[in-house]
Amino acid sequence: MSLHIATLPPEIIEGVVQHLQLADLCMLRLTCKALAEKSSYYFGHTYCTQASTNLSLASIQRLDDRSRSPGAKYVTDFWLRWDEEAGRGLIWDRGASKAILPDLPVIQQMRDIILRFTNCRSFRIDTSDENDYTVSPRTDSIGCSDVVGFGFILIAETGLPLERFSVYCGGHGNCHGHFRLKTGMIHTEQIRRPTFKIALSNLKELSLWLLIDTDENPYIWPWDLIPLSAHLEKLEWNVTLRTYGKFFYFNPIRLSYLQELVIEGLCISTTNLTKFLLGCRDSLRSLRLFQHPAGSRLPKYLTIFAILR
Amino acid sequence: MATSTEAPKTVTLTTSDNADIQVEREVAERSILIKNLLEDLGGDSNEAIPIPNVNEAVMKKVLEWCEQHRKDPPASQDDDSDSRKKSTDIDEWDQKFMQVDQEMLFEIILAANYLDIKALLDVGCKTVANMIKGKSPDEIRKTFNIQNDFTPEEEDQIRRENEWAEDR
Repeated sequence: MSLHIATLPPEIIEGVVQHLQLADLCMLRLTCKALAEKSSYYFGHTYCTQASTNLSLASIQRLDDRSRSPGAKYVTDFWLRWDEEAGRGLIWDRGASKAILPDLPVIQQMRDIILRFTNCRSFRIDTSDENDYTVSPRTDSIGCSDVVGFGFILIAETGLPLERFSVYCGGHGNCHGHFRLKTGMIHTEQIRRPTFKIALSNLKELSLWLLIDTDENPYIWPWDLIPLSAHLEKLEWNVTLRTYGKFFYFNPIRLSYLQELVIEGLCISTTNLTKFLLGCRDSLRSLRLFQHPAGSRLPKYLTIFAILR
Repeated sequence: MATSTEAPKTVTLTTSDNADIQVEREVAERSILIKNLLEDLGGDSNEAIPIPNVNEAVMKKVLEWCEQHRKDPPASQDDDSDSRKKSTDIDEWDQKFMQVDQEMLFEIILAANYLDIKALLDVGCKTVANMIKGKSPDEIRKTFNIQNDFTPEEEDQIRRENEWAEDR
């Protein structure tokens, strides 16, 4: 029998498709069953590791479809994002605090979808634009704080064993004006649920880039995520408080596995920071500290560098 | 200055169709499989090396490539970078070398895989990738004489999976 491309073993087909761009690989996959199947491992592991939704009806339906396909096993990173269409097509009932209700049917549906992504270990919430429900209230759309709140509910509902958790809100340059996470709207009570704690118990990387509004609620909830994650190896902390200029104090936390630490935007006293760094100085390999120019306390930090040697 | 008059060491390879091919050891050792076999057999063995998965015609073609590339440095780990993998640039000599019918092309690729000649396998795979690039599924089918055996539902499923790729 003469040789034919479709009869080549999977490792050879994989060698070929590694030299193709995604568009060409997609075309090849549409030629016949054998080539689709023999390229599926590379295709899945290279291009199908991310799943995202803006929580619109259309996006959730698409994600539901995907979660039921064999390729669902390739998804390792789940991504909740806000955009202009976020939440469209669904009715978002809210409680007295204006937060979305935690028992909406869509939450159950999203819970089931995520549980089908059995290899998902990374959860990212990304609301890079400026928008909030309180600025333009509508029942068929959601704001940035809602997306964060929805994410917290989902983590608690699924108990997903996460290795990476990131919340990017606005980015440092956009943290101004009306764009702030409204603590009352983001379901911080979820952080105390046992399933939420389990989900974060083996976290390796935590990245928080956000501005929280402490006017209505002084609770600095992001810090409560850290004690849940004793095995953290990387912490990116860029949390800006509305009450600019005040020191933020926290109880000393020992992160014995921490190798990389970035702290930006938060006013921490030298004493407090020193205690924290002492708890991770044996493992720490990289430290980056950024402060607002007006609050520069670099000379005091020299004592910290002495501790770290 | 003294010059060596010693003849280069040769080895004999016995192909699947029982042909004996004599070749310089340095050339044959482009194949990691043969190199390891020779090392296992000891320094000066004259024993023929059986290559049961490759016929004479394909072996001669593979050895032609090995001869041309006998002095190439071994591949470094950096060569496995994603940008290198995505590149389908092939040098001129290799391009001409790969101007063979599809059956021989696939035979060379299979032989390179079996004989563990990574650089030749890479050139073969790049050649096939270049035959796919920029084509529609129908054009790819025509190029490789592929029968479309999808049901409409299966094809639809592949289309959806393609849409999900790099979901951002």
